[in-house]
Amino acid sequence: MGGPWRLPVHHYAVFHYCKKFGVALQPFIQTNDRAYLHRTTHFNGAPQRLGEVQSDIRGYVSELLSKAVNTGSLDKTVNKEDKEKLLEGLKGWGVLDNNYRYVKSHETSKHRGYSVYPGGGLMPDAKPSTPIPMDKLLNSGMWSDIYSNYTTYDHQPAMFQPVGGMGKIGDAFTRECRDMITFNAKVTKIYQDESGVTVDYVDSNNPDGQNKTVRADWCICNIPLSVLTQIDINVSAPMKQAMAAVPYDTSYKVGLEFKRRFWEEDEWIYGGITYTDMPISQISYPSHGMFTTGSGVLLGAYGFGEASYRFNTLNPKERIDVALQYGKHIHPQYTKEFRSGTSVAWHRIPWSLGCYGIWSESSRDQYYDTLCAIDHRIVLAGEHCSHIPAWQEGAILSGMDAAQRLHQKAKKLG
Amino acid sequence: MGMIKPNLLAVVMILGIGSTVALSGCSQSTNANAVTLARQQQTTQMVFDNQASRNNGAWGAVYMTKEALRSPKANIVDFSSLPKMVEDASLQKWLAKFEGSADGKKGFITTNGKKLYNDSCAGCHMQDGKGAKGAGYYPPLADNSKMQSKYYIISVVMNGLRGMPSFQSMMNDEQIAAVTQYVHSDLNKFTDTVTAANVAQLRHDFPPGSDPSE
Repeated sequence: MGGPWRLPVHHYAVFHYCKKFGVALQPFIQTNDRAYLHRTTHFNGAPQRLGEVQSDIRGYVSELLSKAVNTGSLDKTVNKEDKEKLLEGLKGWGVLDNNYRYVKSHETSKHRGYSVYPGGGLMPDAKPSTPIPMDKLLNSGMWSDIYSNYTTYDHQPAMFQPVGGMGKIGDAFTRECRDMITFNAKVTKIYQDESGVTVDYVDSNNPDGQNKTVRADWCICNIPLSVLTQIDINVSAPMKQAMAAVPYDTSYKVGLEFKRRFWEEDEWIYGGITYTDMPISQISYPSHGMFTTGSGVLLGAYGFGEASYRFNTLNPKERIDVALQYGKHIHPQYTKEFRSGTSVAWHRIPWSLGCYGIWSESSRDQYYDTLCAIDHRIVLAGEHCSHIPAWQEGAILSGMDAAQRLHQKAKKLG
Repeated sequence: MGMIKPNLLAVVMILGIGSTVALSGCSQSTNANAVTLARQQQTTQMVFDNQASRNNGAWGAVYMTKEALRSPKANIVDFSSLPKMVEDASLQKWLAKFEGSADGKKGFITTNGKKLYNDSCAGCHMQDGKGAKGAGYYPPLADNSKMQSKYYIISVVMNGLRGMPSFQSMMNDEQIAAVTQYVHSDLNKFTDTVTAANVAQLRHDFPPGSDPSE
């Protein structure tokens, strides 16, 4: 739970290791036109399907732009020939009628979906659906969900997830590197000298037990900075400043198990994500096991910011209740179908004390290069040493880059 | 006639059961009603059905009769049993905790120092400021001599410290003053008065870190 969720197509380093270590991957559905957008104080609290919102925005923007073109407002910008092409494009793209208007019709329903879908035999005729009135749509602010959550490059289809869960990647690394790993080693001190690095640690299951020590020529350290800044380590003063310059963001997740997949059975939502302005922020529907009978698990809450700080202060049972009590206002089936739940707040994970390192433009300028530089015999690695914060890809690329630079330095020393 | 729904009238026309006669007969005998119908139709078009989006296309023609499909009696999801958020008894506790959420707001609104502490600081420094210890630690804020300087507390809340993020964009001067007062006087026994002006003194333009994942 307290970990990554989905893999964008350009995260080639993660996929490289998945392929190498035999981690099976399957599609992750980020964008589902039948998932919802929800605003507490709009549409009387009723969620609206993403595909309809998207079609309607495209339609209204096309209608307005073609109106501007037709009234000559853009004559200084667009020549006559381009004008015709632009109008033709807007008419097709926005699904406008002969008067360049976006209206309820069989044509627009071919894009936003029907009220009654075409059937067979003597079933009722298809019935077009009604576009959301433009003012209601604009006032709801749902437009922003499209460009904030769906069209960004790290959310574009195709996305992937390991079969059986993200933990399978960690399992594969553990299997491949088993001989190199000491489990439950809580580092208490990192000390470098002219010839190497000594790391002191204790058994985290028995912290008062005997101190243990390991020594090597070099140290690649991937302890999160939130913890590393509290460990005794002899690095240069600029490196210490850089380590202390990266605050850790907050985030929470709640998983909810239900007795049946009502989002599929009742609402025809197979995978994808519903976004809301309620404290739960989003509901993600499973991208696997679709059409199966029986229980299913939703990601019932996942977010950042002020709502997250509040989630941090709650106990696991309370977090589940928050996800249920708000979430039922999107899916009233929650109350009847709930079976069990679980939750995580990253700031309460003892070994990470937060979700990921936050960088700003100014902190990057001031500290990033120093943080990533080799400090005598120690070099740091992890998502905090990357331009891809919070993603596994950033951690892997940072590790590969650190290893390469260390290798070059070691070769020079002979 | 006034009771018949507009869409049923349309079906009568399609089936063509003496449609012209029937229709002209209708309008002749109940002319006033016909006007009402037209008005009704207009009104229907103007009132947007908020639940339509959920219901659209998910009625499942495979499960339903033609009649039911033409004029469904219920929504696919029974939201009628659902109270309004502000009247939802099981939500009251959380509407208080997540203040403003009934209005779709997410930020900190209160100026009550204890509530601000319990909604933010307590996530790490724990309830009553007792701190926590794991691989790293969260220092206790209660009985902590460093909390004697209100300016120190304000500065940490404003700028963050090592792993701790900055709250300057999430809380206004009055709120930072209130939470500082709570830490200074309630979790410790120090007696300085913390004002919004004290906080304003320490505000600066340093841009807080942006969140790349949102």
